[in-house]
Amino acid sequence: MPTKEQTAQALANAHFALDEDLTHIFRVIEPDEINPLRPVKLLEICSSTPEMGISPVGFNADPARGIFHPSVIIEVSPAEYDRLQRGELTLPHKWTISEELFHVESSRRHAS
Amino acid sequence: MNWHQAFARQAASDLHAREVLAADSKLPACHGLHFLQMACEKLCKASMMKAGADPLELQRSHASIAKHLPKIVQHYVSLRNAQLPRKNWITKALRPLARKIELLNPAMRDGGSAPENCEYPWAGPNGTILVPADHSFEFSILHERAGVMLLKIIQQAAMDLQKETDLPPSPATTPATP
Repeated sequence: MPTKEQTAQALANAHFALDEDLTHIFRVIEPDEINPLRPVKLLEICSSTPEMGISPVGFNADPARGIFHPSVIIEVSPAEYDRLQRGELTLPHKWTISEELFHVESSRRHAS
Repeated sequence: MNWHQAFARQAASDLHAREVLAADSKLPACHGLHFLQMACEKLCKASMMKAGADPLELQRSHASIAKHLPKIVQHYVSLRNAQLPRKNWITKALRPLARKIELLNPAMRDGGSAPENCEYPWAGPNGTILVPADHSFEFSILHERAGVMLLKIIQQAAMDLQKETDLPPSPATTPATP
């Protein structure tokens, strides 16, 4: 079974591959991140998303598509990301922004 | 059943009602559109609850279909259509389509510029009063770009969110039993 790190990368690849307005993706972690039942969380910076602050959406795992963990996506605009960086917006549930994920072309087929 | 599953269940039922209403040519279009809008809002709320949002707070507010529905649909498309190019018409069509669905809600008037909705009468030009049941909506989900695909995916998403598919820990992470 893929690790949460691998699932995060697979999701990032799939999302990057579809949306040209998506400029950056960061992993988001929580105090209990090591728990495999807790979702993989991604912060996605998208230039075309409506600005509504922090409003995550969640998905079940999708093993048939190679996604073995539940996931949460937090989509923000570039301006909202700046506000997050300045502490004017905060993530819920003690979540914190972790490493940036980049598009790895060869991994895309694995996620599909 | 938890809250997100319950909202997903009701969204799926709303979509079924939309199908029945839309298939009856004797009924005005507003009824099918009303159930489409409600289904999308409940699906967005189910997904927000799945991510940890407070169900009681969400029940009192409107979900933003324009914000969340494109993300939900894109997530599904991204895992199923690996051959789509990064610059593709589906992604471009989703946000305006979701906004159109959102504006079917009478509470969303786009600053007064979009009073027409699928639920309540509204004031038209020159003091006329317009009724959803008599209104000819320009919006038809089956004729919108990406409309059919969106319908299929929200049905799938509503079904998926009713399941509890979170997997148990893999053997490598399961503590050994004595």
